Amino acid sequence: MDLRQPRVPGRLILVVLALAGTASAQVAASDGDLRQYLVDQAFRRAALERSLATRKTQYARERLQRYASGDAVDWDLRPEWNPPAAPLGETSHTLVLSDRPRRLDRATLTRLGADAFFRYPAQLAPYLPEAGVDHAVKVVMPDGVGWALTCASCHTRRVGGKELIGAGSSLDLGVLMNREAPNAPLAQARAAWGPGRVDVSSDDGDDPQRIPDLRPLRFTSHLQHGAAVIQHDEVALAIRIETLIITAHGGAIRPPRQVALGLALYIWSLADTLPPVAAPSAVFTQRCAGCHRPPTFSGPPIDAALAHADPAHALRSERSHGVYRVPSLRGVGSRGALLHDGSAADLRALLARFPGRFDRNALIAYLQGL
Amino acid sequence: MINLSSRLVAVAVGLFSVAACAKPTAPPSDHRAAATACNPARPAGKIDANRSGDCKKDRDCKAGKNGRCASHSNGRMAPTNQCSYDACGTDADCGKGLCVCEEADGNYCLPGNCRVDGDCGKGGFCSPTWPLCSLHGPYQPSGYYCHTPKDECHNDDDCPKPAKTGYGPMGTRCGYAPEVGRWTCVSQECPVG
Repeated sequence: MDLRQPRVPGRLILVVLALAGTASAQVAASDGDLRQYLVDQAFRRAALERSLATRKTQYARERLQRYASGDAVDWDLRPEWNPPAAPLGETSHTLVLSDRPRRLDRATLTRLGADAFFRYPAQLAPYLPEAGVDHAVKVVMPDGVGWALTCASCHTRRVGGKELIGAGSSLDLGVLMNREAPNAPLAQARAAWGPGRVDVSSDDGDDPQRIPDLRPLRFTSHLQHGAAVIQHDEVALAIRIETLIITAHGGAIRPPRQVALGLALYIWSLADTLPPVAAPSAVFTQRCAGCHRPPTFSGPPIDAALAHADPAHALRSERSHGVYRVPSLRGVGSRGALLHDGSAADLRALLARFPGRFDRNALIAYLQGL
Repeated sequence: MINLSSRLVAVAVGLFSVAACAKPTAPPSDHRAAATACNPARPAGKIDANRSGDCKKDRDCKAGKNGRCASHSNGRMAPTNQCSYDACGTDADCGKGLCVCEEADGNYCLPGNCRVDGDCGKGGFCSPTWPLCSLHGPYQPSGYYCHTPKDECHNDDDCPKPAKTGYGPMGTRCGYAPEVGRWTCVSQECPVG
């Protein structure tokens, strides 16, 4: 959100122009494309390449080397993993997959995705307490039963006793991870993350990011805070989810593609849980709409130096290429902490970063209704 | 015809996957032949007098057994003086797991499906595996597991190295994958998100 009204630097104009072609509103994939994703390796490879905003990041290079690559290190050669799993107190079962993927329809896949969101073991978490955490599952594996996090564990937020599915996270992952290794070098830093933040970088530093709000993902042109992935459609998101789960398991397994695609469709459907939007207020149009453009309230990525946020994350080559995505503001009022690193506790704290005189109360009231 | 083609492709993929799998080339170089009892007289901690932290001397560390105050690194952050404690002295202190002796950071328990090679059958090996994203810390194993006849690797050398034009400096290493119950070449990309 860039509320300033300074002169627009030439560099920004160039960045926006360069990215504009990749920032159009998201369009649902055709049913044919969804089926192609499920059954056609060449299609998946082409879709991956099209979705990478840059090939220079480590994130991109690993996927280019191992996703649908057709060689000896191809993740396609890994076993498909669909273990029996269940939340504490429920009976374990595997997700029901179709043996006729060409006949699958959106509604069936979305229902599978909803089930997977709360049941599929996205990442093993041996550090979880026996009592578990919200939406963690017990997974049946060759050596016995272990705990795992699901999508819902990290992408569900409790607000006043109500659970907002997809809206960031209430989980204090740093404290939980310290249970496994209290003497780890980064234990103190992790303890200070607080709920809803996690470090996704692979170096030895401490760089926690805000766990994103998935509800408005359908309105967002790019995925990841550093805009490393272009979300052309649900297939791009499915590949993002599929490779996320693969790397979350060290590349030892891969999820069923029906699960990855179902999750993508389900996550896009979360936008329907957001309230209807009122026409943009004058103060919003004046101060915010330059970057957060209605009706998506999102827009093309912007140069990190102009984002009113610490640019360090965007300048690391692991996942970033000097820009931040412009997240949709739909749902921002119930998102909790804001900015890529969660450094603004709420809307008022965020707006305090922006100079100038404007009706902050009116703007906050409008934003909270999005 | 379509069905036949599909089957041929499936067979070809199956053969390829077998051919493509890495195979262990040597016995595991790191394995636990026998259990050891840790030194009950842990050396005094080494603090950095120029650093702050949660302690200044060993006697400040009273929250556990054999507390020691020592300077610890925090990745890119400045080192601080921190307390550490012994969580165990022998395997018996760790339930079904085993005790790793570590004088600098304190002895700690690890989970797994074996304690020593003998638990893995005749000629078997019980080896330490490392957590995903181990560059993040902890700089210590995450468990001990038996090698199996289905293993893809025994040592890191069995696993693909990053290509010169590859995906980064970390490549893959040999680790135990509980999902499939065998040792396999696992990525070192940090897994979250």
